[in-house]
Amino acid sequence: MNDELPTLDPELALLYGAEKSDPVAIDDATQARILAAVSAKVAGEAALTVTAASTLTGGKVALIALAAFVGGGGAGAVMYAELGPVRIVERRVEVTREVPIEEDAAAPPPDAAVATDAGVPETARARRPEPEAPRSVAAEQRLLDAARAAKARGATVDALAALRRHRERFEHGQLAQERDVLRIEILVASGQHERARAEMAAFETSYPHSVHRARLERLLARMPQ
Amino acid sequence: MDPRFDRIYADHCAYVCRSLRRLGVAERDLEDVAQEAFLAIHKHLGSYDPSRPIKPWLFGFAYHTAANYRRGVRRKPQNVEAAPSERHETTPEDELVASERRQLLRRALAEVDVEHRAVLILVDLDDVEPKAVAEALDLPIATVYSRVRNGRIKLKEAIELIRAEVPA
Repeated sequence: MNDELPTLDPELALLYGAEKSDPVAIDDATQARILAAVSAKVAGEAALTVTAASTLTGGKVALIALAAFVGGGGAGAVMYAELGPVRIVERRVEVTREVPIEEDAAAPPPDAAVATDAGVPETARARRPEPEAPRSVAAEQRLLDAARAAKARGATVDALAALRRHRERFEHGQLAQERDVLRIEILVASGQHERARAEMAAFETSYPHSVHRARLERLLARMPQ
Repeated sequence: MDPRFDRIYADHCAYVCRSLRRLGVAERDLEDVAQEAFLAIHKHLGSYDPSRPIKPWLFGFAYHTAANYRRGVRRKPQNVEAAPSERHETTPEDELVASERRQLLRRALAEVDVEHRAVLILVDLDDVEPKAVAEALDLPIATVYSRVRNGRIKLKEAIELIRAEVPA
C-alpha cells in the first residue's frame, strides 16, 4: 500500500482554495444561543443526576445499567458503567426517555470509528425506522409528545431535536401547526428570543388565522425587548 | 460550565459548525445540530488528550452528530444551501468566481459517501495530517490514504456530473 498522497488535481486545488477562504460565518448571537442551550441542558442533566443518584442504592444502579444494556444502549451502558454510578444514572435517564422516541441516542465518542456503517452501532441500526414507515398521525403525535416531555424536563436540545425530526418526516403533516407552535414556545422558554420572534413572523405568514396566534403573541410580548 | 469546554467552544465553535455543514447539515438545522454536537463534546471532555491535535477530536463529534441528523433527514443532501460568508474577495467578480467554486465543491462533496467525505474534509480542507485522522477516526493509516485517493476520484466524478447537468 502506497502511503503517499498523490499531488492534488489542479481543479480540486482551486475549489478547495475557494472553500478554505470562506469559513462559514457563525455570528456572535448564534454562538451565544448555542452556548446558552448547551449550558441549560448540562445544568438540567446535572440536577437530574444528583436527584436520581441520591435515591438509588448500588444494587439499583446495577439493575439500571443492565436494563440500559438490554434496552439497546449496550456499548454506551458498558462505557458509562466504567465511569461510575453517577454517569450510569445519567445514561439511564437518556435511554429510558429517548429510545421509544426515535433512533437517536447520545452521540458515541469519536473513537467509536467510521469503520462501520457510518459509525452506527448495530443496536442503533436495528432501531432505525424503515424509510417507508407510514406517515400516520400517531407517529406525528409521538414526536410532539416527545418534544413536550423534553420541554417539561427542561431538555431544550432534545425537544428541538424531536420537533426537527417531525419537520423532516412530516413537514406538512396534520400536526405541522402544533409543531410550529410548540417550537416557538420552546424557543421562548429557553431564552432564544430572536429566533422565537423570527419563527413567529413565519408562523403568522403560514397560519394567519390560527387559533394559537393570540396566545403566542401574548407569550412573545412578555419577552424582554 | 467547565472552563476547558468554554475555551474549546470559544476557539472552535466556527470549526465545528463548518464541519457540520460540510457533512451535510442544512443551514436551517445547523444551530440545533451544533447544540447536540457541543453537548456530546461536553459529555466527553475527559477523553480529550491535549497533547493531540484538537480538530480531529472535534470532528469526530461533528461526524457522529451529523450521522444522527442524516438518519433523521432521510434524503440526499443535494440542495446545498448557501452559507453566510464572512470574508469578501477583492472585487465582485472575484467573489462571484469564488462563490461559484464553493457551491460546486459543496454540491459535489454532498454526493460523495460520508466515509470518503469525512476523510477528504479532514485531510484536504482542514489540513489534518493523515496519521492524526487515522487516530481520530480509528482507521488504519492505509485506509486513510486510500480514502483520500478514492475520495478525490469520486469528488471529481461528482463535479463532472454536476457540470453535465448545468450547461455553461
